[in-house]
Amino acid sequence: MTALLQVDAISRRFGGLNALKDVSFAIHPGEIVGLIGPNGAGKTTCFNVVSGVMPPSAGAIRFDGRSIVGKKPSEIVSQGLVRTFQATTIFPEATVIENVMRGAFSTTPVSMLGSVFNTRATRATMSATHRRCELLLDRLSLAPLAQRKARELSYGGQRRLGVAIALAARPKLLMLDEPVAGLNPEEAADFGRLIRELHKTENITILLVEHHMRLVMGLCDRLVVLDHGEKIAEGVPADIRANRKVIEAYLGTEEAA
Amino acid sequence: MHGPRPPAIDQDEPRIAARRRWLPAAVIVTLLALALILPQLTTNQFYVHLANLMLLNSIFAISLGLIASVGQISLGHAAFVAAGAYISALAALSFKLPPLLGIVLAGLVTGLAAVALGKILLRLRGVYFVLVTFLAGQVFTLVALNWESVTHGANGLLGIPAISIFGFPLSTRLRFYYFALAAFILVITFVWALMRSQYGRAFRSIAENIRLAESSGIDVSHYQIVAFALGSGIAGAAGAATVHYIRFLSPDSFTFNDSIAYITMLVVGGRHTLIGGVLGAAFLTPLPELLRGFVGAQHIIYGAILLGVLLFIPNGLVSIGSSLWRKSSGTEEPK
Repeated sequence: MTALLQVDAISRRFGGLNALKDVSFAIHPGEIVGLIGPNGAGKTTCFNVVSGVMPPSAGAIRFDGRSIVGKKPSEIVSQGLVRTFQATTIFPEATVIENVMRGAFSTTPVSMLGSVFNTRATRATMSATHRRCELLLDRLSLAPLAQRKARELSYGGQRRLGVAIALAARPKLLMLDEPVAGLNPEEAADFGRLIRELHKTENITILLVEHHMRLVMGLCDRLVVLDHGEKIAEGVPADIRANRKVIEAYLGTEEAA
Repeated sequence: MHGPRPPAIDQDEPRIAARRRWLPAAVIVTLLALALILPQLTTNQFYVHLANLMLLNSIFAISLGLIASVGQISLGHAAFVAAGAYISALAALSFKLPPLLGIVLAGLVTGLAAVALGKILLRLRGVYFVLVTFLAGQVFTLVALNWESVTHGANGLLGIPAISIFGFPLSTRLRFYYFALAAFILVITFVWALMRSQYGRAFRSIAENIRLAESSGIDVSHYQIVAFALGSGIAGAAGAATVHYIRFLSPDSFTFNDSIAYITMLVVGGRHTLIGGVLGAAFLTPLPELLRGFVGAQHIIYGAILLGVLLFIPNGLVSIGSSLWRKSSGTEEPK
């Protein structure tokens, strides 16, 4: 099976600090993969490098068979690799439906000039996109709030809206950056179910960074563990849980303790 | 989780929807009729002159608003106005280029210059962008002042011809008024259509959350350059139109003070809406004339107005109107 995302020996240095060192992993179509590690392990840097927010200092990244190193984030999105952010997940002053319409920007096939003149073809395409966005809101139980301003949503609602914005770009691979951070246990569990459901209905592959271990263990097919910028383990949740290196990374070695 | 919805909305929906349809159209038709007739009713040329300046200033403020709509503020807007003015004036004086073509040429050249400048400038974010636009504006003024063989330096350019349409010269204030009104309508319609389109959607996304815009597949630098080029091109063309009306041009005609004045108009009127720039221009253009007795205190009064607006009506004069509209229709205005 060919990989959807192939990360090959990427490194990222900030001055003298090796935030990422020779990290390699692959994600296959249909998988849910978790990227975990203690604080400062390089998870967020890894996310930013893969999604094109910052270039790697070395290494190769192939998505859907094509190299994406050095491409603009907007080009990477058009290829089907879409990410969410931890904090800035929404357009606060726009309505909920407008937020999702903006997410659908790259998948709305209108000519820009036609859009200025608001031609018949543009109107047809825009109303099709509008319907698609309404369906997405429905799926994330945000439909009744479509005309609200995004900043008026609850925190949980804003996180769901962030996912709806990302889904509107029709991702093949959806990268979720700590999707349940700041949610209470009940909301987090709901969110886990939601991710599983979307994984099926939207036919997407998912890579997520998350601290919430129970969620990660229950949700992911496979885990990649980072520590001090290096990959220390990779495998199914049961193996990772028993992996000595991983336990040491999280809890410290016996000597240190 | 789903907050309660005010019941008034459901009851009044048809009435409000109908009102939303006819009211804007009625307002536009009335305003247009007034704009066409009013100047004929006055014999005071000064009022016509003020109306012309208001229309031109509205265009400058709207074009600056276009640049501001992607979240950038330019302190060098007047430099593009001046550049457009010099291009058309020099083309008319040296090559006998008809002013109408000169205006088009000015718009194209300033727009392209903005593309080139934008590729460098728009890497800069926030305060750095503002600083560099300020410097670019100052450099332009200095060049215009010192490149005497072309610009005649501080003496300025005299005898710039008026616009002439098929041999009919717009040499009176009243004739120019109708030209300026047509240009104003053209610009406001264009910017309205642009902001309603996918361009507007991209611009607003970038202004509101640049990282999320990028990860939504919006090519941020591309759309910032488009907004900067269109805004600057419109300013250049309108600068050219102005110079064929005033018919004199010197490095002092459009300076940093004018850049500040355009920003003030935009902020005072309301920088998030199209009408804001127009309201600001309508309010602030006659102000210097009213303040003639307070020479020197003008800038203080401008500053006080700007501060007052930012403190008490941060969304500008336009927000007074829209809150009245909300009150009378009992619903929130859709954005």
